[in-house]
Amino acid sequence: METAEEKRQDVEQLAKREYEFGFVTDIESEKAPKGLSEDIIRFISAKKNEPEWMLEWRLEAYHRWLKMPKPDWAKLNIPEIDFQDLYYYSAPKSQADGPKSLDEVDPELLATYEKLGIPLSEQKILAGVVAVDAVFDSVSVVTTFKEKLAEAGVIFCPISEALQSHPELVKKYLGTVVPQSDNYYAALNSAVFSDGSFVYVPKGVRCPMELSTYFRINERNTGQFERTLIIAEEGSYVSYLEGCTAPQRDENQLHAAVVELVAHESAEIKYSTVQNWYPGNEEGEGGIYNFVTKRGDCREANAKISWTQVETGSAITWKYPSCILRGDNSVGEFYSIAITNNHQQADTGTKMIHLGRNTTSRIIAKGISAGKSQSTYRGLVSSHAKATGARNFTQCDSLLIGDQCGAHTVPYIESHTPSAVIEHEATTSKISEDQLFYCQQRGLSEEEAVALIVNGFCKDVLQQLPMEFAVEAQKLVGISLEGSVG
Amino acid sequence: MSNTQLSYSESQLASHLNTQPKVVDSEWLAELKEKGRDNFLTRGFPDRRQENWKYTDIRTKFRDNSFDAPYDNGSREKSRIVDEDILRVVVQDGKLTSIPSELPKGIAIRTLEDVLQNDEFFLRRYLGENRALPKDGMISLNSALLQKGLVVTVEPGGIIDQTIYIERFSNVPWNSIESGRDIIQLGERSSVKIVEVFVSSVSQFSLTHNVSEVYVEKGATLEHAKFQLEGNTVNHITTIAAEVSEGATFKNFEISNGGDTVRNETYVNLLGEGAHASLSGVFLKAGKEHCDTTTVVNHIAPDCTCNEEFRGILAERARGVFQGKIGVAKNAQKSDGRMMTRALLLSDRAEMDAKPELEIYADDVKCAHGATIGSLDNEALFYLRSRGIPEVQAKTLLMRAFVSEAIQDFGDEIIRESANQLIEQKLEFLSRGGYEQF
Repeated sequence: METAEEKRQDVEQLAKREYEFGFVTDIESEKAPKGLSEDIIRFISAKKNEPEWMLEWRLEAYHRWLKMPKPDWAKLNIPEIDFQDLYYYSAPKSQADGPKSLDEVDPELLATYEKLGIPLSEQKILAGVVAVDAVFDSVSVVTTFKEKLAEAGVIFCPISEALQSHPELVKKYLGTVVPQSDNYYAALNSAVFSDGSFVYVPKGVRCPMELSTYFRINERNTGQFERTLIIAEEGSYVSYLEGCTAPQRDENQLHAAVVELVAHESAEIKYSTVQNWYPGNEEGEGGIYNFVTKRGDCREANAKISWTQVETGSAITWKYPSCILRGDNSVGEFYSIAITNNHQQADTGTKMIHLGRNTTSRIIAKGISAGKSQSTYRGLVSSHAKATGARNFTQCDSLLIGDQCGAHTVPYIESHTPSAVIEHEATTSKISEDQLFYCQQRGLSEEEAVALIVNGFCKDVLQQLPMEFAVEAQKLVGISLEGSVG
Repeated sequence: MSNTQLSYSESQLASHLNTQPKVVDSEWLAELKEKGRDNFLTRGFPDRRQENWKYTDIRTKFRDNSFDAPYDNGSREKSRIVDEDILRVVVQDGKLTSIPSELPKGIAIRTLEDVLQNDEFFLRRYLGENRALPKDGMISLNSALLQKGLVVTVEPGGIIDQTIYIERFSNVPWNSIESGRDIIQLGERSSVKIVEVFVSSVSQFSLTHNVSEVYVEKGATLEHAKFQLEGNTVNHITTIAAEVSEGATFKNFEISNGGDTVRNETYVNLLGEGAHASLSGVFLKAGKEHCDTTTVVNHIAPDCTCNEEFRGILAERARGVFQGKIGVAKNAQKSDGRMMTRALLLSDRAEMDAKPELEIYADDVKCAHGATIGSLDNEALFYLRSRGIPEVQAKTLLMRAFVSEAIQDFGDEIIRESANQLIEQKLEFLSRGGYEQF
């Protein structure tokens, strides 16, 4: 039998294991100088050959951003960020030559994707069910499956490309869900966003495949400012996947993305995220700051927007994917797992704003804190005067592993509608000794047992993920908690 | 000490506080008041940007001083508890006017002034020292205006069987603040039941602001109830801050039936192992009344338990607020916390905002909270009516059942019975259509 000392060593070894996906690729980047100013914004805009209105839109956002205070209401300890000490534009150099096929793509880049398991290589294309609009730092490098999507009439391209090919669509929808001055980080993003995905699903089309983007932060000290815009026309359906890993590094990196979803009548958008950015080492040094604004607008009747997220990475997460349920009978869903370990901090949740009649929403949030981490669920459910018959159910459960961590729940519930029914439940607990003992006496190690129990705890949410992600996410749940017991 | 009644616009208060004569009889008290004054002058009335006051905007409220024509629902007679077995204490406009000539052994009820003269040592130990007290503009103001109040003490081991009934009648001039500070201190292993009833004369526009500092020592039990029944031109903000020691129990139950803008705050620190707090309440509101229930229970020692149960019914344009927070400190293992709040909205223009919050830093804990907001079940109503029960009675019956969970666990029978009566009256008023029926 293993002695206690051996066991302790095992656990220590596990805890010391390096971040599995941590590596830095050496590719020269083309960078704008450090710092943020009108000139940098003009530079970014010019670099992307954007129309004049886009530059003006960016500048307006910049001027508003200058006047805005940083949000301080979250239960987060955010170190001072020097916005003048960041690069706001960097693109892999090979982009300038414009690779037309995989052969032309920098082999080192391909190797990076290989390690991440992004289905860009040939066998993946053969097996291919997933189109990848792979984002490397800021500029989308390769986009596959375009033809197949084009056949269905679906537009799926980098937003910078959409600004060239479909400026009228971008102009019509950009900023209509998350306005420029929505919040501090959204304003920053509006001013300097480098790239992101653009999806347009025409009327009545069911998108033939899951759309997927892998994000990867690669360049040292580069703020990553993604902007994603998804529009689903009447009666259409699209499922979008977003997943990310990042190389290990010392300096903190800022990520302030904005995602806007617009669902028209009877349209459905399913947005899934697996977020596994570098969380910092066990001393709490380094790691990504993830300040994201995600919002969906069920603009017309019977629309549905569903958010699913698995948040395991980042040193600091500040993220509240929300639904505005404007259309009658529209549906909003939020399924979330947030896992924090070591010194990670997460303040995440959702907002469900019921404006239309008979709108329904469902929130299932699972928070797991281990090590010295702090995890907070913060959510708002509000039903307004015209939202008769609105219905909400919220369940948020927290699991604590270890006595150094914290788990907090801050729900806001506001009802102006007598016929609305709003229910909220929350629990906090730890893994029971009985469960652990049961698993262990059947031969599982303590770590395996914890991973198993936690996966069970998260099951409701994991079930919501598309197949491709569910497997990865289950593994992630286990990996994220390594070294947290013993 | 000055006896002037205060008008509550902030600037007037500031000028009053600045010209207030210095208290000469006690250096220590003067210092405490000055500190309160300085803090109030910097903080002012709480505004909505303060998270804790997010849903209750008293700054705007007291700036505009706008109000409706008075209604009568705060009459003194309605609230009388008729029972031979209670000890009746009457406080009029903050002054102790009537007290039983003979109190049971072990309990003392004195005025703050009295204690200041005869037992300053006690005050220094307990006044303003409560660790559960929040630090905001209202508490600072209360300290700055410190002058009137009651001090209730129970000797160690003293078991007081009779219920202490404190009637607080306020008839202060228009637009004035009635400010009081009480201390309730229970010695080890003692127990007492106290009910405080707030009533007012009809048609006065004022603010009742009472702060109670409660100390429940080892193994003691305090059952405290508050019936807030003032007329609906009276604004009411009360704070109860309780320190609960090892093995001690603090129960608080409140009914909020009257008043204009009302805020009932309860802050509890569970400081010793095995301490227990149980907070419950019912708020029944109509017209344009606003009722804010704010509770914070901090589990600081291991093995403590707390249970919260609140029910609210909101008719017409009434607005209810529930902000509850359970905090569990790092070494407060084996904590067990439960919090439940439910509200019924009876009209299209009624509103309920709830924020049940958990803040947990220990892993071996069981904490749960729940919140629901909805309306009366039409099917249940139909069921009752189809059996020949008239609409008003059927509604009253359903609402009665709805609020009962918040009352049933409160120990003292006299208090429970009188609470039931008060609720019955108000529910019938609500079922008949609230103020609109007149």
